[in-house]
Amino acid sequence: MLLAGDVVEQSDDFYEAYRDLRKGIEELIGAGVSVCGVAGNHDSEVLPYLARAVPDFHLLGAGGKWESMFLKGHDGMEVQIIGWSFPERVVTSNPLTRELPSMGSWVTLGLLHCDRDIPGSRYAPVSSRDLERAPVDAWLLGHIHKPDSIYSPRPAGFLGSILGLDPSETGPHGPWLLEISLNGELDIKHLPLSPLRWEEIHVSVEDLEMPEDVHIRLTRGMDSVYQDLLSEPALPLAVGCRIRLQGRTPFRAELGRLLSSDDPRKAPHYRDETLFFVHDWQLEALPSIDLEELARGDDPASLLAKKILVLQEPSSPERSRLIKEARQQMLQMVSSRNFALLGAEPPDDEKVAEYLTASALRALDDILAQKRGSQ
Amino acid sequence: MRLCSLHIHRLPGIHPGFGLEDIGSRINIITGPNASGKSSILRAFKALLYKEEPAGITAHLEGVFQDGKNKFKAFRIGPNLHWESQDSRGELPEPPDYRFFSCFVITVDELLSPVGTDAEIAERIHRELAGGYNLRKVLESPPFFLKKTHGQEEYKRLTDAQKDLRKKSQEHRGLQSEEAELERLRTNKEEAESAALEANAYRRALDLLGARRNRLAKEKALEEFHEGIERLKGDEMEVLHQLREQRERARTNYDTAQSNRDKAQEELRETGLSETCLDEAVFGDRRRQIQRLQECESSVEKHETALRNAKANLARAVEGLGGERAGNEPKLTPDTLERVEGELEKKRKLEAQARQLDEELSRLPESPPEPDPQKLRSAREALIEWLSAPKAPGWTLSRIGALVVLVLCAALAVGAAAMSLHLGFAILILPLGAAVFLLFRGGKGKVQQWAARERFQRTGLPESEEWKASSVQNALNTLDRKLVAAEHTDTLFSRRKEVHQKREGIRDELSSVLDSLKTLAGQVGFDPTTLDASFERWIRLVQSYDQSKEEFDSAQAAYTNAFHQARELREEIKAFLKQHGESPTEEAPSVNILSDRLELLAKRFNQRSKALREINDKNREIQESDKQIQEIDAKVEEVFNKAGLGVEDENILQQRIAHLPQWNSAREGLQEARGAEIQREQDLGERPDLEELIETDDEATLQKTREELEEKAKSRDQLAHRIAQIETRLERARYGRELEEARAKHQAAEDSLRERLDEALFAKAGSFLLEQVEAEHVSSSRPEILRRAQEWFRSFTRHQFELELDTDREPQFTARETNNNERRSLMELSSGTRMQLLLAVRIAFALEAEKGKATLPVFLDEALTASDPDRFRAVVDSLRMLTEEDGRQMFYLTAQPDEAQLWEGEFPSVSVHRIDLGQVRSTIRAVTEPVNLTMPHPPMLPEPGDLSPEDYAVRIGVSYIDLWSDVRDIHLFYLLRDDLNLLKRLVEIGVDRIGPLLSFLNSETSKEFLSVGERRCLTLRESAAESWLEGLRQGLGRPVDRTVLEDSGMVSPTFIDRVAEQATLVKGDAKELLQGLERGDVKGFRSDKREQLREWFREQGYLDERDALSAPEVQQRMFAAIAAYFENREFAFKTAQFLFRSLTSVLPGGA
Repeated sequence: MLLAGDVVEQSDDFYEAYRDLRKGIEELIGAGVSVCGVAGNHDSEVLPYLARAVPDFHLLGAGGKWESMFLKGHDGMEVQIIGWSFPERVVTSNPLTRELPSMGSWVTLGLLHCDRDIPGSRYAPVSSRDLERAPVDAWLLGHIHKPDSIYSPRPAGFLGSILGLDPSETGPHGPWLLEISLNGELDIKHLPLSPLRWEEIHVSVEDLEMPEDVHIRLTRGMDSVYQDLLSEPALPLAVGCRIRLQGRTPFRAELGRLLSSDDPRKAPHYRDETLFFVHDWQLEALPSIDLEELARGDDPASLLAKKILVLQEPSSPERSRLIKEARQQMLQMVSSRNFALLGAEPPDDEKVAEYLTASALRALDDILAQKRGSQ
Repeated sequence: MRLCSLHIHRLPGIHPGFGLEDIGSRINIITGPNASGKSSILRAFKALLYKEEPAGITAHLEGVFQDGKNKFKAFRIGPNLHWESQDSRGELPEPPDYRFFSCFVITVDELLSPVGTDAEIAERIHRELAGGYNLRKVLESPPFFLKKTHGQEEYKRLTDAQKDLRKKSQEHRGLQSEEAELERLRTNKEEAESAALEANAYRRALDLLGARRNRLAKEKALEEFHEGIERLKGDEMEVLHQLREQRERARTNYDTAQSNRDKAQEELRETGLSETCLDEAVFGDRRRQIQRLQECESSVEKHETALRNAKANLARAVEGLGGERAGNEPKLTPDTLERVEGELEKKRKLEAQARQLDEELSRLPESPPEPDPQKLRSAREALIEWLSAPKAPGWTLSRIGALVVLVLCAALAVGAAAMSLHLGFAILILPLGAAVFLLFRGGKGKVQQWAARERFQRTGLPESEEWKASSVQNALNTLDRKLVAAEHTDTLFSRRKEVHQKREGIRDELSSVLDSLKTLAGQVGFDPTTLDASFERWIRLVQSYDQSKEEFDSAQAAYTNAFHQARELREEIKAFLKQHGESPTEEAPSVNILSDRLELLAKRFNQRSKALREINDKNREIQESDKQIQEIDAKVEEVFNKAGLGVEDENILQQRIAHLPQWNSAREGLQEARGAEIQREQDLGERPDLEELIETDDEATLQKTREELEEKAKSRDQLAHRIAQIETRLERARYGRELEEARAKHQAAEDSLRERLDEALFAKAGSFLLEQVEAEHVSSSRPEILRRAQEWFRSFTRHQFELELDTDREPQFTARETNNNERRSLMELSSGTRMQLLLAVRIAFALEAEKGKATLPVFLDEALTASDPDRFRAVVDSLRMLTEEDGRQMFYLTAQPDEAQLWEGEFPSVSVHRIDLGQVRSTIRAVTEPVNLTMPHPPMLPEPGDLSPEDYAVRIGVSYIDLWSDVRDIHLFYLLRDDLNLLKRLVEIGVDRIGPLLSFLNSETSKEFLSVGERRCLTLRESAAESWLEGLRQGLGRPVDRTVLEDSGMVSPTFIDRVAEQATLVKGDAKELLQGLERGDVKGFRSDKREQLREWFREQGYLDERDALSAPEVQQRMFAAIAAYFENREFAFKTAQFLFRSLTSVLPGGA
């Protein structure tokens, strides 16, 4: 069992997560499984502590020095593991510039926690070129939560977190199974065993006969996800869905109201043994009106439609100006007293455009409703 | 339409009249001192246009107007208005609505204090601006409207969660060092525990030593007592005492029993039944006999009563038959009954006759008739006589008239004679009167009637009310009826007398029959009259008699039987009582007496039984007491024997018993000491080393070693407590999941706050867009009136102000200051600016009001007097433009002749016609000095030439940049230091700062004044300046000074001086000031106040906790702001760098 670092979230978590980790590792060792790992920026203190407490756990590269060890398989084949651990929470230097352990003709696996291709990163920045150059048969990397697509014959990439820690970390998560044949060939396979899985579901709201039918579409969307999951080796215990309602519909405003009052987030349900719940939903659908046609007028609704169209033209200077001006105001909000505490990054252009588009669509719904109300 | 000439022949206030010929077709400047008639021209003009305008009854006005090529003449005489076309071809022009005329007349007063017209204009524009939507409503509704407290609760929750997480994290950190210390603590604790155990062993050894010593001392003390004392129990004397008391009580019982037995034998003798053979059963038999006797006596009494009743019933039956109670029995034989029946038949017949006569008597009157028939007959005759009397002749009308004439003539004759001839003729009145009397007196019939009436009255019968023939006839009829009735009554009364006499005879006869019957009753033994009743009754009476007789006989027999039974029983009982000495004294004693005697005998029998029992009991008691005495004597002897003494050795026994408690105590003490020693030996266990010390009685060594060990063990509890504490915390940390929970809470709070931020950004994006749309809509679809008014106002104020329509509440015009973006209401403007604003609005509206109507001249009545020269020029230029555009005629009325020059100015193409009203009216001229005609000059800027940008900036008076002022206040020099010519052009038209620049770029004029490239350049540079200022401010916080501190309300007067001084020391840096307060630089300033101040600083922007941006970061932002304007990104970056340097280099204190 190889651990690529950041198996504990907090660097000072010596009692809670540490205890769980230690228990698991001791179980593995008790079952005859060798366990080794490298420390990441999050567990730079905890893993050395664990290594001291559990002598059979091998922490590679403690103190920021490359270290190697050999593992012997049931068939007698030996594999060399080289690894480097974070000596402290922040490492701005490239660990691959340091001397690597000597390697022979046997299979060698590199275990490293790092930031790839982010110069100036505070978390052991390395470049893809460095990784390619290193004389190892595989690079098993930690740090980035989203798993890379890793392939044989020379597997290299981020293994990803064992489960999605954040609703934005959608898709499969879990350990990887690396098999080495006697002739030294490597075969790597992702095992999405995460008990919790996040999925973003795009639901079309086009051609709805009535707004209430959206619930049927939501159910179908989740059914589809479930069908896909059935083909995987293991089903998660829970699936958190992020619903994105898209397409054109005349019921935009009604959908917003309907989903607010009959909120799908409040209705988790099981599909066989798997719990499906809606974590959030976003109404990204466009009104069914012809925005281009509406934008030809000069009343407020038309002007708003023009803005929406402008926001849909990525290279338009008008869009840039709009985003820039809006960002100025949003910055004030982000840095206002109540929200400065979050230390949130100012929204980038695309995020600002998203906010503007979504709010413009909502405002368009509202003012068109005024018109309908007055008729 | 223009005014060609005006003649005021008559107008109130104008005398004499005057005329204006040759009025200019464009601008007319009418000068003249006050009261020279300038305003009258306006009044006259209006009166010629509108009939509604009051002009006075004597008004006489004439005017000539031209509309296009047509000329019209207008006359106003008093209220009458007449228009005519001079060439009879053109249609009469229609002026704008009367109520909008004020828009064409602009006076100083109206411009200084806005009137209703302006509000009406504002309202109308507002209506057009609305465009059918209510964007405000959308903006003020969710999700675009945010409460002021939006996110506040989540912020608080996150702050709390942060604190909690920090605390838990610190606890875990602290726990690590404690965990490391735990091993050492455990070792120390083990050592202390060992010492404590050893100290305990020494303590037990010392205890054993003490126990051993005690046991030895007890053994020695016991050896000193007499031998044999161990056989005593100590209670021997008490036992002896008790035995002797028991013996005494037994003796007393013996004696008492003997005495009581003697007394019982005496009582037995006294009953007299000591030798009898009576038993309890005998008394039972005798009591039953007495009870039977009592029943027999009751039966005798009952039969006696029945006999008495039967006897009484028999007597009543005899009495019912009319016999005597105590007399003979009735003789009910057929003979007697026949005799009785004969007498009774007689009686019945007489009684029937008597009843018949009584009945007739009851039908006859008891008294004679009233009145007497004789009297009635007399009265009848009198009335017949009255009616039969002869009648006098009747008084006819002619007869009465002749008599009256005759009498009057006679009276007149007498009167005339008395008066004309002699008074003596008056005596003739007497014979005349007598004659009249005789004439009217009745005849013989009357006398007869009077006699008849008198006779009637004598009968005493009631008289009729009047004596007329009809009344009398009626009375006679009545009287006849009464007479018939009276005569019938008289006949009946006579019959009654006869019947009464016959009834008396029968009564006497009946009386004699009854006497005869009474005599017969005495003979038959019963009342014969009873046979006069019905036969049934008779049978009942006889049956009753028979039954009573039978009952009487039966009762008598029962009574006799009961009486004999009772006598036999009594005799038998009496004999029994007599046998046992209880014989009653009476001959025939009652049952009670017999019973009492029997009970006395029974009592004696009981006393006998009781005495016999008592004798037996006492005999038994005597035997028992004797036996007890013998047993007690034996026990006493045994007590002495047990103590090894004889009965006589009581004194020795007493002495030994006195020493016994001490011996017992000594013996128990020894036993306890032995027990304690054994216990201590067990407690100590196998410790040969200590046993040796005990054997050698080495107390000193034991004591010293124990003290040393106890001292060492003292820290054990503290260590145990400390270890337990750490272990508890470790357990809690391992299993409690507090850190994880705190982290989860923190994450949840952060997520919540992020959601609020997301909502806020959504709302901000929405409100941003909606406000833009609103502004654009206002700008693009604004009514022509507003657009023109805005253009003019912008022009009038040289772009220092923008005209806006405030629609937040009631629509009203406002001005936005371009250099600081502040909005000002009319009242907040200087009088000059206010005038310009209203002037712009009025003219714009006037143009709107006359759409489709005749165009009217505009009158300005000293409207620009209060304006400064620059603005005056701007207004004049605008108005001149107006006249140029549509050939409008304009009148400017002023008392200032120099103002006329301003109208002539730089537009020679527009003719300015000057009319000197003073001259026209042959009054004083307005201009007195040539100096008054001097024209003010617009400001002139130097040419940049070879001047360096910095020198040029100094020359034109560029100000520093205040980092905390609005971006609109930044001078254009900082944006255009590389294009000083453009800078000069802009500053010359009043556009010197970013604020006016934005206003100018928004105007139509700018499109003519600036090229497309220049507009683009200025726009992007302005954007860069905004990004620069925003970036530079990040992380700085506004400077804090005393005023700010006072405004916060968080610093009391006690501290304000010291805190303000501290603020000065840290150069207004809020962060440093707060740190100083935290360090205690201002003694006594409370921490809660400090935190409140921190919050306030954050809210007001004095404390910005974001990281300050570096110069490259600011440049990057500037680049991002302008990048969209460039195709070449490098050029964009260089421009950003240039502007950054330009703006930053002049900051006070440098970059």
